[in-house]
Amino acid sequence: MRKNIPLLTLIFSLLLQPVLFSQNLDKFYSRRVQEGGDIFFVFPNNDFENTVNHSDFIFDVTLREGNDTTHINFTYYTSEPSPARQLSIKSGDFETTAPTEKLYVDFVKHKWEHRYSASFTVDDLQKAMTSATPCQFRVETKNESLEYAVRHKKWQKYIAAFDKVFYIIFPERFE
Amino acid sequence: MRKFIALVLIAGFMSGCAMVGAPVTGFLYTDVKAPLAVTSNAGSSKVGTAKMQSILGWVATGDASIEAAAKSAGITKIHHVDYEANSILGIVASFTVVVYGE
Repeated sequence: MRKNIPLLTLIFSLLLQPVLFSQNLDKFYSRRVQEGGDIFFVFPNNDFENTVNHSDFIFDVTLREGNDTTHINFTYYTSEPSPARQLSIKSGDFETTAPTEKLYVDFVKHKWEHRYSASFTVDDLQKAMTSATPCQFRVETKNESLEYAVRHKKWQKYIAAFDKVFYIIFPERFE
Repeated sequence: MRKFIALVLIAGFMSGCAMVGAPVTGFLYTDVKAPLAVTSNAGSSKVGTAKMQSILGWVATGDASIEAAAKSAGITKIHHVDYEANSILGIVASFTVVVYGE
């Protein structure tokens, strides 16, 4: 059995690889160098869920160097058609709201899939996404208000990476 | 020792089933990015992704088409397309298409 220890160690190391290298930002965002400012894309986060029916809320963030506006594209699911009017992000005492723009609506696996986009300033996004208090998303529709929350542990992991990305894009904000 | 060999054979069987397509792949671990397509359209301000996954090579789900990725960000003019392929010991594998455009 002792002879097998190096092999077993290798196997377990590989299994633990995602945990060991959780701060590897490659899996968190992508950067494309281009004329007029690099474009940064923070990959979709699906850690949030509805506080009532636990349906998923998925969002991603696109930022562009030298641009004060960021775009959040998000998906939520409802049993009845429920188009979004605005998206709010709340973190502690801070809250920001923006109107939404429809990307598409689809009917998938017996649920309505709504995909929308909302624009926020870099300042507001930084306040919401780097706060130690887990943020909450609220989608305002015609008939209801849908709230989505995240577990504290997952949020801590997310903001640790998001904070690094913010520093990469806007180092002057940390001076 | 027999149990260990059986375990390795089972793991090998499973690994072979859940590999992900890429120019280079690792039998034990794969984490690669590569280009998929490029067009003559200029610049990009939007990014969209689409993903498919496989577990043990037994179950595979998802829509990682360029169309799905473009649709997720409202992209109508594609600039270029990359993809990312990941797999761990053939247990889980994923393939993500990333579309850049306007």
